[in-house]
Amino acid sequence: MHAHVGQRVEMLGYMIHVKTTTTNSGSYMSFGSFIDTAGDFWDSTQFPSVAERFPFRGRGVYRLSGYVEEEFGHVSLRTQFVEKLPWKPDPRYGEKYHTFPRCCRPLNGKARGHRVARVKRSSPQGGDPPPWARTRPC
Amino acid sequence: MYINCHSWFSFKYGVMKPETLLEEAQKAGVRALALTDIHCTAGIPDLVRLAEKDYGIKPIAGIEFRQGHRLLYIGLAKDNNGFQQLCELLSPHLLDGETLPERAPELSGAFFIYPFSAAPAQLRPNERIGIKPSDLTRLPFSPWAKRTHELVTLLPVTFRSNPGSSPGDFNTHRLLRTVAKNTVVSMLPSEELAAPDESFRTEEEVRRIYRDFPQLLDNTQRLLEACSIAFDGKDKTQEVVGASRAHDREKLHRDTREGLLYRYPNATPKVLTRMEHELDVIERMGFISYFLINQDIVRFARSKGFFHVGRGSGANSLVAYCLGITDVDPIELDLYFERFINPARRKPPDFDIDFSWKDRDEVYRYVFAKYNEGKGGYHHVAQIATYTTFQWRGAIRELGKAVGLPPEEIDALSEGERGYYARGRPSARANSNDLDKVAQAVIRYGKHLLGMPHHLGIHAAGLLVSERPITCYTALHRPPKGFPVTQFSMLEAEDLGLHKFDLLSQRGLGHIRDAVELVERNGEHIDIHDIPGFKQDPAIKELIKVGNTIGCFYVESPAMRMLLKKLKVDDYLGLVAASSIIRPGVAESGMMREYLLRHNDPERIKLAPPELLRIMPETYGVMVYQEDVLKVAHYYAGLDLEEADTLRRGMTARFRERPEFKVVQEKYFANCKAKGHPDAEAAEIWRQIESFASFSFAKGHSASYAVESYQSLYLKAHHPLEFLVGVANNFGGFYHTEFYLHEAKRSGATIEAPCINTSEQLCSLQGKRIVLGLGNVKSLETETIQLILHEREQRGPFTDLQDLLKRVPLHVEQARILIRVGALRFTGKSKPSLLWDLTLLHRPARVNTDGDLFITKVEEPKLPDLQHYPLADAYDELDLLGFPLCDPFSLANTAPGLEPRAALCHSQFVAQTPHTILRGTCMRTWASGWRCSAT
Repeated sequence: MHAHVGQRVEMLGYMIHVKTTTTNSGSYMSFGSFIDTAGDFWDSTQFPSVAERFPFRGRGVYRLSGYVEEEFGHVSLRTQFVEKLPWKPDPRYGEKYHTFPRCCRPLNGKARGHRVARVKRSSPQGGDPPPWARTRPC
Repeated sequence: MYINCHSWFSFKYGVMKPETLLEEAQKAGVRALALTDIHCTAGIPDLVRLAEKDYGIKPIAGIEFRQGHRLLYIGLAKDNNGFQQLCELLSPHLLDGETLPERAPELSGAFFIYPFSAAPAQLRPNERIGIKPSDLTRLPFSPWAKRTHELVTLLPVTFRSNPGSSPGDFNTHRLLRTVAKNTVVSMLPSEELAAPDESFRTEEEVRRIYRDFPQLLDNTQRLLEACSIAFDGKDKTQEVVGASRAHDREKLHRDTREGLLYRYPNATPKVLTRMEHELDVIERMGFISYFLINQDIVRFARSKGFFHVGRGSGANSLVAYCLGITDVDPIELDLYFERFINPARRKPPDFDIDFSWKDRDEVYRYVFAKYNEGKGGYHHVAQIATYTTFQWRGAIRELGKAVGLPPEEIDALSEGERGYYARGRPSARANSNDLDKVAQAVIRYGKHLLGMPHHLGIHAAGLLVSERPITCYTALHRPPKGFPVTQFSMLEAEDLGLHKFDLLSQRGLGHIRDAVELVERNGEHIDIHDIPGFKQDPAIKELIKVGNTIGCFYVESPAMRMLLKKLKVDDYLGLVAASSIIRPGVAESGMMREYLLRHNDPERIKLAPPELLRIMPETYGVMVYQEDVLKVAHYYAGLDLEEADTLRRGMTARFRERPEFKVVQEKYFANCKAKGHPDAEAAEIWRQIESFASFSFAKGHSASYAVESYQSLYLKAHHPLEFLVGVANNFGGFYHTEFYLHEAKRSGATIEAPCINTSEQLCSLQGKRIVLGLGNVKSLETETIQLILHEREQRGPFTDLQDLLKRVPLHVEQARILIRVGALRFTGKSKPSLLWDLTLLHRPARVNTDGDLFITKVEEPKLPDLQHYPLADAYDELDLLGFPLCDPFSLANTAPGLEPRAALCHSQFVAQTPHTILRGTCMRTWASGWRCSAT
């Protein structure tokens, strides 16, 4: 992550712990800790706008995207998008077992619009893939 | 006239706190009142402390004795001695469930008042009959009419008298009774309730009610005059530990000097003067026994091989260091003793002594046995209670049940959008008018209940050891299987002058001890107390610097690891500072950020108020330690040390309401003005003190924690596998067991599923293999585990499934769990075939497991080849262990169809229409299956 400070990245993380807290204005935000695919620990911050739209849904593997930020030498991800990946289907029970919703569905239904808006805003003109598709695992 | 008042310490009965009761009494012009809570004395210390001083009312202590809802008698204490007798009458009932006698025993120091309806035929000199207003119509026709000298007025008080609030109070009471009886309001028998008019009346009204029997008023007056109670705030902790006071003094001096030789082999004059000074102050303040009892507890623990950590503000003391109570060197860290023991402070310093959660109860047993010994059966040791109060969510739930709402509606009220909100505040939406009347009532009364004591809990650590029996101050009760507990909280204990001994239980010490045992089992000896050596250890420095501290006591949480990285510290003092900065007060007041900024940018230090910088140069003018509040209050605001200490203590919500705290607050601002500090700056510092002080650690306390952190860091650096197994087996830390095992994996271990032939109860370490314990398997019964382990110990390992089923009477489900988690993989058979075998082989458990006369072997049935999926193992592990043993990422579905793009835009393309927009650029609209989007 240290190599990508200031950049927008997308990361896979196996959730260790999420701490929720209330800000001074009463809205709620969260701090996540994850293990990456190499087994290292990394941290993320979800500000209220993100934390309210994409609540974490229990333990499992998540895909998070956002900007890598550094403060006093500690790097963390300022999350913009959270998605819980489904487990692979259990071979014993056929396709439907152990599949989870694809996205962290928003609480208030606004996130659909939000996601589209995000795509619109950040997608540059021309044929480049949108930034969230530029996968840069750290 | 009022010999029967109830406060809210008549749990789930009364509604007023003692202060409100006194206020009401003052309004009604009452000059003396007796607080007689039902089977409770928790309100007495507050009543005695406040009544005379703030309200000009004479306090009288009493207890109301009931059998179920039936009033037996009311006991009033003539004096402190009588109060003790009453407490001793009540205590056996609360401690051991003994039934209360129908007729009160003859006690020299107490009056007893019987209800008119259940009056005994003959009264003793100290007994009376209480006549309620409703009894007056029958009184003239009863034999008692001729014996009026034995009658008193009985006007119970439970509610506030303000007409506006009293129906509200009565309804609250009704709901509380309903909650207590676990029923619904309409089903509540009326005998459970107090009469709605139980409140203070004016003197004329009382005279009017009893106009036919004026003698009753005089009798009651005389009764009240004959009673009194008082507590002084003097130290009531056991005064003499050994044979005599002189003996104790000599012992303290001798042991301190002995300890000094061990701690400081070549002590400087500075150390010696400090020791003399401390010993002198301790003696003058009368804390010798307090120090000796703490020393005795620690000495006992050491003799048993228990690890302990001594911390708290007492860790600033050199004598405590020499006595072995604490392990931090106050000279090295420059800890000020005066901050916590000075003539202005009546309280001894706090010692919090931590033990492993496995050892603590034994220490408790020792203290109870030792300090109750030879005391004639009186209780001199007790745990301290806490008041468990109604919180928003719980209050709504209980009330919802009481009015008979269906569970879904209760959920909606307490949990949902309009219900519970963070930190127990009622949500803004809880008020809305679209609720029906019943729900609105629940919300309304929920607010009344908020903060009301619900029942007595137990303080996590506090013990009292008193000179006189504890029953002089409170009745004792006993929670299931526990030790005797007082009825008041630590705040009242402190007011009374009973100093508490804090013996806590924590898990960190457990894992250090377990890890050391594991290491020593391999034949290697380590000295876990070699703290000076650890401080120099480069491997430990490295761990701290990179924040690789998972599993290590107090420094393993994500927030702490982040802080360590940001501070870029790697030494002991840095760790000490960090463990104070992480405390909620510092973090919340924004001072943690400020500290980080100043730490990382020396330029910024200059922005600090120069006065503060001068007081606390080491922490860049930021208050970090508890001493700092005292320093700031003393030097910055010019308060004396006692006022400063009031300020430090004043941060618990309950203490903050007290007038002495308000006085200090005013003085603080006045002094700041006089000293010429800018108003804004003074206000800002006050804000910091407020948010800070109750959570802060004394420096010595932080330093003690850091010692324990260093011990775990040492183990993690040099014996990571033993250490992490120790952590996992103590189920302590911040993280789930899975992540400690993950750490172990990163340190080179392999993690293996439980196995009935190699697993123990908990995780075991075999070389580099960590075998999970049978206890790690969810839903495997403890009894089953014991049976398997016992059988294996007695008669050797199991050979196969058939052998297991034969030797251990297993329930089929338990056997299935063992197979699914892989505990029979040593047989070499796949799980599906083992499961088939199980259904064929299993027979209901037999009573006789001593063995058969002949070993008969059932021929193994032939099974077709069964397909086994490795992925299925992972699901079994998820189910039974709570986590997979393989890489979790290999389980996540990242199939091509779920690439980011697809995951985001799972819409179906339908049509595309080109447009030209106003600016002239081209735009295409995509119509998709369920939404439109533009590119």
